[in-house]
Amino acid sequence: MIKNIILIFLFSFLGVHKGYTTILSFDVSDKTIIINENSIEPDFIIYGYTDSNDFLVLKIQGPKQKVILQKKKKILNMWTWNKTGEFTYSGLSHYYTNNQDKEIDFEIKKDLVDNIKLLGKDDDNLKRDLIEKKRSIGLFLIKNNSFVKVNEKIPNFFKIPIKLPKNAPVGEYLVSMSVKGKANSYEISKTKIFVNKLGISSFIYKLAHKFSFIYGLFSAIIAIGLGFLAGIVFKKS
Amino acid sequence: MSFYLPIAEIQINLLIILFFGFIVGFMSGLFGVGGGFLMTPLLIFMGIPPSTAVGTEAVQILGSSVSGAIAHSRKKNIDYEIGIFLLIGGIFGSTFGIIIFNFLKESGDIDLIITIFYIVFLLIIGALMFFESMLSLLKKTDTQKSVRIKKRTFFDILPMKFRFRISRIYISIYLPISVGIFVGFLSALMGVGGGFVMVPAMIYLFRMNTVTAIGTSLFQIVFVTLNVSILQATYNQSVDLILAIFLLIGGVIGAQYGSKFTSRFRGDQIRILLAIVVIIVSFKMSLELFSEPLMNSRIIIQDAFQ
Repeated sequence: MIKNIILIFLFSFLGVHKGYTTILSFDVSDKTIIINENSIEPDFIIYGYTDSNDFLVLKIQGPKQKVILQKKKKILNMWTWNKTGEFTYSGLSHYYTNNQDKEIDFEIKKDLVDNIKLLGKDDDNLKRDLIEKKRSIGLFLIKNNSFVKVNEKIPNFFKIPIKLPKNAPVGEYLVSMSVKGKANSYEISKTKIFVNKLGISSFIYKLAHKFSFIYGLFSAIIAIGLGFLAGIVFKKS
Repeated sequence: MSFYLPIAEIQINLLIILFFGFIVGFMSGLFGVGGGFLMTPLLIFMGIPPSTAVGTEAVQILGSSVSGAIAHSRKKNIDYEIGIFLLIGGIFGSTFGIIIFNFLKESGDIDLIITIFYIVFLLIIGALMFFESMLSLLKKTDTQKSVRIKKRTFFDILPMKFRFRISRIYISIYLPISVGIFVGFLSALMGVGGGFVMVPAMIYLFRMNTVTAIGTSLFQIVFVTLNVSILQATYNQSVDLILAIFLLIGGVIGAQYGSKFTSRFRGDQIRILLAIVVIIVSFKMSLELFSEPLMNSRIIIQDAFQ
């Protein structure tokens, strides 16, 4: 009980937003997240405290990516792909809410669309296609009613278990929490986390995308080395 | 043994990769071909994106051609003078091919172009090989004699002639450079070594002897695939090293067993068999081209800013 009182005391000081009486504060269970491909357990947990009765939205944004969207098309009965647009956006955008509301969902979707920058002429249809594609592979997510009470006796404490998809990009993520009231909405606190993946697949992916020339050289050296080795082994046999 | 291939972005059983590497290696050993034009379609059938299949195959061919090139070098079967001109063309052609590849990858047409190239080439090669082998089987003609017949052709009147001492031929340097450009371009777009074009060209157009043609072609393949591997990795991020390593291991072992079976068949029988395999692969690729993809759209990541 004393521990809970101390926590309430601490949180009430940490999260007071200027001009508002709402108390909202949170922290993450780990600042460095290792995505475990085989585990079904949450990758990390958000712990927080609030006295607000408004809607709360937790937003997780991954590192920026530049991508090309291609849609299938038919040429002379043959199927191929057609470039429909170039975008920059956060590689992962997850939204977790404490409740369900059509207006809030609309606002979240608007935020999602606003955060996608189309290179060239703006086109909402292309953005919608991209959002649909990213949602289908788990990189864009809106999850309502995801706030869980830590203790029934102290309903103001909450936790949000977060499970990132296997294809989540590696890098620095921004975690922020906002209050979405009927009259106003404002971001109240944010923190940064670093997402990493372990294993040879992740190492190769990073090397191939960040140090492409070195990766190419490395691949060539490995191939030549294996070729030499095969020559020696089978010459002897 | 299920493994996530980081560049191909699919989960695959590595034993299957080893097995297919072995099968294609076996056929390479049996038929005496590089195998790139069989392996790339097979990878596409397994669900590897065509662009990744092409980039990865370049690395695999590089590894598998190194030991062959060294063996031919020891036996002095490489004509380095012709090899250099083939290489100049090869580097130019493959670099140009990578630029085209990059452009087509962005526009979304690379898969279609790779598949069409394969269908056309495999069909032509398969048909030519089949009819040539059937004729040889029926008429028992000696193909070696026809190679030796020296007729004056358009290629003999080309300028910049050079005497190549090892092969004892006197030809224009434009000839090996042109062949090199063509083969380099194919290497970049199709993920092949190009021996199936280069060796016949050297025998029939340059009038080189078969052994030197094979050795010189391997010398050129090593450096062109080295260029293609590095450029594919640098500009297209289409080289899956894990996939290449397992294909290489399976392929090298398969080739050893395949070559042991070669003596059990006659040359024309082997060629007919290879022609049938090539034509089947070509038809299977044609079917793929006309079947609708399951996905409506796809995303190509260009850069990640962190």
